[in-house]
Amino acid sequence: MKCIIKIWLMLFFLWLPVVHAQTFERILALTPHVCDMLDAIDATSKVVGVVSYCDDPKKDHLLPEVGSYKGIHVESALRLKPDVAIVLNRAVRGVAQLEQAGVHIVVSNPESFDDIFSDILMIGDLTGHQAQAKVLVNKQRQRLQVVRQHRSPHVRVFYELWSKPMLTVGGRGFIHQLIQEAGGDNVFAHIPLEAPRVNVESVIRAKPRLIIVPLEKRDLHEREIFWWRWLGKGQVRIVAMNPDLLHRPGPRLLEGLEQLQITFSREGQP
Amino acid sequence: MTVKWCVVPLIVFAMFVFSLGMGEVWISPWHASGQDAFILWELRLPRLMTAFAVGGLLALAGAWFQVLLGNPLAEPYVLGVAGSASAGAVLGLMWMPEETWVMSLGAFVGAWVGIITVMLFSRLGTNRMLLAGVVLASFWSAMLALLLALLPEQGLFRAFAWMMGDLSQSVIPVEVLLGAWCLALICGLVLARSLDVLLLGERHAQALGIHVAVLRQCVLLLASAVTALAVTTAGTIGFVGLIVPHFVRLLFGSLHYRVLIGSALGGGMLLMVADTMARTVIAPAELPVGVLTAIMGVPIFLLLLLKRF
Repeated sequence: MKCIIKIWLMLFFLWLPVVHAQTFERILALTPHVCDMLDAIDATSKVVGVVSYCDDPKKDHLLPEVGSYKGIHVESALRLKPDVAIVLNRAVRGVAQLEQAGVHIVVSNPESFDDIFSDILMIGDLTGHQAQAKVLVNKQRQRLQVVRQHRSPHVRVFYELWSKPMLTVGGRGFIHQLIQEAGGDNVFAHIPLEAPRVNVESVIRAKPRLIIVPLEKRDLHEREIFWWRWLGKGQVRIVAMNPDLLHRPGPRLLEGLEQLQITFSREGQP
Repeated sequence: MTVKWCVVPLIVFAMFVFSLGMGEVWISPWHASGQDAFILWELRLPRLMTAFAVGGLLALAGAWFQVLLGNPLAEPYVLGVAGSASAGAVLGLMWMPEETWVMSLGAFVGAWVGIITVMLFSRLGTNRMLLAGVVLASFWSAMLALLLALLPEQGLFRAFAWMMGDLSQSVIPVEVLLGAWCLALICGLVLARSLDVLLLGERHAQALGIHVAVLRQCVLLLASAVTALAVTTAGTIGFVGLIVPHFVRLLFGSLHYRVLIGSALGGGMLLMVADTMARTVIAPAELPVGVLTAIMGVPIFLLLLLKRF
């Protein structure tokens, strides 16, 4: 009996890597950060369809869009004959139908840098680009280490996620983690929500030294006028940052973290 | 009755002081200085006055619609003005997403498109106009759903925030709103006697020399204009226009000069308190004010239904 069990266990462990190493040739990248990951490990050639805001893969290949954050257009997606779809979560409209149609579903919803690294490795396995994925993860780990070693002194930061209505980041979610990793003090970290709505009075009371506005520079002036009116021109600095570097839990997030760290360091200097 | 009328201004004043002082931190209006004074007079006061004016306008519109349609369940949005204004606001948001005034302009134009469409049916009698209003409300809801489906992700949250009522984004100056509140109340008081007679029935009103058709058109126009202004300022805030006139009737009787004065003050007071709660309950985070008026309004109104009807 023991012998039979041993044989079964041996067969199982021999079978496991074979399954794990299964690679896919026709991939649907159904969330922007996955597009970034696939691009970063040179696996864009295997992508057959994307969703809106997947900007990187489209630089080289004009890939058909099969949906957006609102859901997936199942017919368009199936017409591309995908063998795997990488999604943010299974609740996205259309994912269940894709699965029913025989498309393999993989979920990527990272909530920390460790999650991002493990998802890059997983996508490397799925595409057969394990070597590129490992190189990328190692580089990213080193860059993260450098940021952690050069953390600036704590700077009080208000992250203006949205201006009308005024939204910020609370003590949950990866943007808050990002601010902490870069050495900032999120002034609304005590709110146990991911994106709470606040008002001007709360911001005045929180006394931020730095306001991060995730938008393109052309819109910054309007926010500067607004905040200088309430907080005083010399009291606060308003900095615009590319939201794509901060709001996507993919390989570009590290670039966002480095930019945050540089911004905080400048603010921390006397 | 006289005692009640003496108490009303005192309650309104007390609520005003409470709402002004209440926030993330209590600030005494009599001892505020420095940053506290700045917060009190530059941030809280304009918003408070906006809430007061919008609440009063909505309650006035509710009182007018209830007598105009002869229906106690009528409210400012019964004829689909909220839906058309929301659709207009979302169109404005799609056109120029960065400009708040475009969204407000869209809401204003949308509200008036809805009003004019309903007014085309007003000659056919109250019931047909009400029916047309209900059908048009469904149409505007469908249009709104269509526009929301086409709206880019960035605009979606803003549209929902506006539809849940938002006093922080008003582009209309407080002075204009308070002026409109006074003007609407004066117009209402001028028409109050005629409305009292109208309650007795159209034949009685005509026998007493009132031009019922003209009166109806005037009240419809007035109620609609007031609703359009309120929606443009603060989005769709429910229940204020429905419950406040009923409360006032319960407390002060059905004579319209009382109903209108009470509604203008009571509606303002209710929205002022609701907005204070929205700013305070989970401070420093904030809740949408429309959600609070609904949460406060529904149980009170159901209780009212059980007791009164």
